[in-house]
Amino acid sequence: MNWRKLLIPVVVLLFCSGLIARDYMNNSKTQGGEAGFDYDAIAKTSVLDDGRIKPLDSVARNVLLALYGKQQIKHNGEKIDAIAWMMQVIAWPERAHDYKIFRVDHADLVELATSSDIDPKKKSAGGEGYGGDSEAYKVEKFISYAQMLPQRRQILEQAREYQEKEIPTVYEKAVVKLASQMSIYEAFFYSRRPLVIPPVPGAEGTDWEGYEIAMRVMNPEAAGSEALRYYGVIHMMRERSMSVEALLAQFQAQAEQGTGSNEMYFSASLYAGYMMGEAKWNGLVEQLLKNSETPELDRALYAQTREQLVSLSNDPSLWNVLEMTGNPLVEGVDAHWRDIITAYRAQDPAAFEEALAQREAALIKAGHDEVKTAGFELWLNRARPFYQSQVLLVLGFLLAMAVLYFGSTKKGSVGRQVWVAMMTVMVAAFVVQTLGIIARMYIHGRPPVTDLYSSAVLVGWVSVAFCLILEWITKRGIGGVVAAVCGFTTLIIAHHLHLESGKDTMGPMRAVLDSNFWLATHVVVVTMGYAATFVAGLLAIVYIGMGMATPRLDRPAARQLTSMVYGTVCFALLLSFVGTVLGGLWADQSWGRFWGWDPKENGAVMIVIMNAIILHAKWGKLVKERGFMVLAVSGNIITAWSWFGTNELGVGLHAYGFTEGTLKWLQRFVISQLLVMGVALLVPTQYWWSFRKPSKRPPPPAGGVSRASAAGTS
Amino acid sequence: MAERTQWNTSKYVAAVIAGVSVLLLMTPLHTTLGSLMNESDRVADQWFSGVLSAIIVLCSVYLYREMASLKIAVVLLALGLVLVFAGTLAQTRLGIWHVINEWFRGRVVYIPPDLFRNFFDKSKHNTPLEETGFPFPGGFLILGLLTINMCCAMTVKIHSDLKSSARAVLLRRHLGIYILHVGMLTMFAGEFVTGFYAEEGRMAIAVDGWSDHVEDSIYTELAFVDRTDPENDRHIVIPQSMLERHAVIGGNGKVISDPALPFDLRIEDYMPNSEHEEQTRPGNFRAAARQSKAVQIPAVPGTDMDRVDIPSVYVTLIDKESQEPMGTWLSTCVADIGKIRPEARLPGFAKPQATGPGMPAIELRFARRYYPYRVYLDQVKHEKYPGTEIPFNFSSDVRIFQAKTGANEAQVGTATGVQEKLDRDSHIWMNHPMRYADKAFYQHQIDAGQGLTQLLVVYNPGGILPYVSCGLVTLGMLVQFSVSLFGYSRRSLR
Repeated sequence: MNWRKLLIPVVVLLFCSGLIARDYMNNSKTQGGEAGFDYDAIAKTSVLDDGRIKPLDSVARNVLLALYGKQQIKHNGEKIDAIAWMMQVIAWPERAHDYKIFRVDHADLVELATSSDIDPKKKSAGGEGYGGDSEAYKVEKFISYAQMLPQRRQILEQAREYQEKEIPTVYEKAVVKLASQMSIYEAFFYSRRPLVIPPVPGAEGTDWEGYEIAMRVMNPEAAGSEALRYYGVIHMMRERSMSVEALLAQFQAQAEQGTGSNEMYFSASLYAGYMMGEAKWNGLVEQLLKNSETPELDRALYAQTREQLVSLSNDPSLWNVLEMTGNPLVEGVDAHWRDIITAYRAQDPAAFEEALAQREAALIKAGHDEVKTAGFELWLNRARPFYQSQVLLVLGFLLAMAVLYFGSTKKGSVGRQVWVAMMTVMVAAFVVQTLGIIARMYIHGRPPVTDLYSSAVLVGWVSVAFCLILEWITKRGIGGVVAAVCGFTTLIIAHHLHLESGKDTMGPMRAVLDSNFWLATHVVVVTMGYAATFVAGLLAIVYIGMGMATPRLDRPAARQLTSMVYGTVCFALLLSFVGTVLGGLWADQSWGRFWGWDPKENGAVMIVIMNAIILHAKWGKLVKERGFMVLAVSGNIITAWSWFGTNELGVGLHAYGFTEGTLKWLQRFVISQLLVMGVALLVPTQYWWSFRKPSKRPPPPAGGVSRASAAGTS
Repeated sequence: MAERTQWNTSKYVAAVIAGVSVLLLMTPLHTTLGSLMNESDRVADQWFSGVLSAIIVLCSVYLYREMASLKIAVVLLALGLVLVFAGTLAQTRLGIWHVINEWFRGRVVYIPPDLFRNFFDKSKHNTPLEETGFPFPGGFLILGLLTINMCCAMTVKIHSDLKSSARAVLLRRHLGIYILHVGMLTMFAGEFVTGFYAEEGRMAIAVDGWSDHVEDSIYTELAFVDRTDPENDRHIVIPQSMLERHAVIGGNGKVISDPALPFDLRIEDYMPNSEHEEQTRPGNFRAAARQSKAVQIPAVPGTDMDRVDIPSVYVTLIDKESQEPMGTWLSTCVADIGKIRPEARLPGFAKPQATGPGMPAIELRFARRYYPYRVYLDQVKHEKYPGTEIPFNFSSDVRIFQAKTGANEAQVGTATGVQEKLDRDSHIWMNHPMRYADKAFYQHQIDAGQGLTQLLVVYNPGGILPYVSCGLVTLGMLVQFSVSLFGYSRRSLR
């Protein structure tokens, strides 16, 4: 082995590792925290949120991302990390209220939300009504919770009204979004998301059921059953020490204003009637029966309800639950958690650390094995492999362009050296991304694709793999360019999908999707099919672009590119077909229907048909090289439709990723692809730069090499 | 790929006949033919499509070289692509079963151009779709022609391979293609068998209760239940197709008369999906007495998962002798209790109502099929992820009892007198159905609060075909692509 051969890869690898290490070092120091506290320990302490036990750091990052769009706050020139911010929100909300973290998209809303005396119905100074619908009102401003607190009620009321609208205006959408962000934020200091970890279900001395009820009692309107609404009424009475009559009046007012639910009011009035004694109850029932369609039936029903109320009031378990719950009380489920927060509030680092250690030990003892991966997840959050991989892909892209510029990658040439460097960077990016995916699989305990976010990550990963194999065989730089473009774009898409959903990307799977076997086979294979179709389409675009705009697509290059596209489409057909059919088999296992003609299923079968058309058209000699490439580009449109378009149509089993901003990008993408196809079809091949007839060319003014390099720079 | 073919007059004639037959398949001619032959739509339709398909197949056998063209395959695939896309869009406007049966399993569809405008606009999703549009081949027509094309292409290819001197090499080279196309044919066969023969129904059971029948997911029936015999109930049912055909609104308005019923019937209106006025709950009511009113609304679109169709019927009972009307009844049924307005979920909802003293009770319900065994429900479970409303698992524990006597006869409503034998004790949960007899029982919906489970019971004789097909196609593609891939990398390395 010649050691010189290793020189370039080793240098490049060292450089890449340096980049990654520097970023990790920067990330692992918590900024903006209180002096003396060990933020590493609190960052990796486990909490229960969104149905999964995870480090507090992940919760903090996700929530801040959902509100602010970033994982670090900049406040008066000072940087505050997500975990430090989260601790403030929990411990001293008043202080956290001053951070400008709520993004508002509408100029009028900024004004409304930050002032205390503006009536939204009033006309603005410009003479126009509030909530203008034109693009001109769009802004990106950040405001703080303290700023909008005086207007809180009004914003929430407006949002409730606008939520029902089928076609909301820009302003109305902004209001709804702001209200939902507000409730996400409030959920933490009102402990509606208490983060505590209840005992393992089924373990000895468990009060899991109590925890469940406690959670619902605090959100009575979301509670499903009538009995729980009664629990909610009783709880609110006790918590606010109100009389039945006062509570009833409040519910009635809320229901009339439309700010409370009718069902809640109905349950409350029944409960109130019951509490006020036999005579009142009978009067209430008679009043209700007056408007009834089927009096006999309803009379029986109310008798049943009364029995239910009697048994509920005598139910000792209910009273136990109510003793335990209440806002600070739910922390009683997890006493150590309360200690941690208390110590933090008291600015007592020693007690804080001790409480943290005790809690970890207690959780492990209680059998919460998820606690053990928390440290690893924290490491993953800080190492952010997908971001690192993006940085490397940009570097790889530049090198790949350089390879294209040099043209030849013959052994010993400069092009070859650059090619080696490019491949090293690309493989490093690929390995980093692979490690990221594996780490996520390990933490989540699931196959790589569980939602739209992870599908984008895997599409990128598979595309990079495909392109690198092609690049290894062809050594022209084309595969490198496409790999970088695919990998980088899909990671950007993934990041935006995460931003839009604002949720944990390793959340729980719905019952019907809870099958690791099928997730690992159907979902992964179908996603690989998407990736292969995209790669084929992008290679085709490279063919069209190189052929038209550069003189570099000579016959061997064109033939090689065609073979690359052909091979990729073959793989795409295989993968998309197998993936789609596996989905059918899953459906057959799951609800007895191999094929249900669901929009997503149809989207998948359209990819299969498109790939089959591309191949059969080539085999049947219906198309030549150019037509083949145009068909391959149209595969991009079909895949984008299947991946995102079908989700936009409505809800369904597969519609796990409903996103609005996606739609705009989808439309732009489809138009761009149609443009490429149109241009490729309309411009006859003899006018393509690479395919011009030699006779029409002006005689070369200088040597061929210099012209080629001039073209490369132009 | 296929050898050059020689066209002559008889081939042109055959091609024209086949083409005309395809076009005829895309016309609604069967209704005219049916009325000429005095046969019901369904029978006339079967004859019509059967004869035309036979003509097309015969012509194709004669023209097998020409029919093997890859151009035909590409055109059919492209048509399929457009149909699937349009059908997906149609699901935002039409009921899912309508789209499946008329578009994907039909011979012809009329695609309104309006469909392709603003399909992401959700405010349009519940608006009805125009009936008119440009005619387009339906799913089964495309699949059928593709099947013929594929069979012809395979025949031609095998024929030329066998004739060649390099027989062994060619056969080996094309092996993958043969396998995968046989796999595709198996898949098409599976879709045809499912389309024609598969049945699915829902079985609702309460905890500690049992059921011996399923209700269809799509079709309804109007039932009259005679309870005069203490041992056995008698159910006299009128299927949905008959209700629609004889309805006064949208049908021929004929009076239905049957010796089993103590009265004659006039179906005033049959509504596949209906909406009830504020004061009316769905159920079985005497329309005039309760002033209840239902109006027809468009079917729930296939992409709307939160609502279901609520079929209703207005029916007038007529005295057999005097031919005097005895009152009009409104009857409604709901497949899925969870998806209707809460006030309609009261006890007593949708129980059959007696039409008069000593008269059978009336009820519109989803068409029932009875089984010679009973499914008892012991327990239901609805587990959630901690602290969330996201379901983690649904499950039902059931036992099946086989009736010892008269096991082949449907034991309609028998409560006593049949000896039973425990045949199966099973735990049904997500992704884990119970297979019993020739049917599979899937966990469908659960209402743990009420102790109710709903099982989806599926009978599909072609259920195994997709599995076979998947194996064959995958094998074929792997064989074929590894041949070409290795060929490619060898070439490019050279």
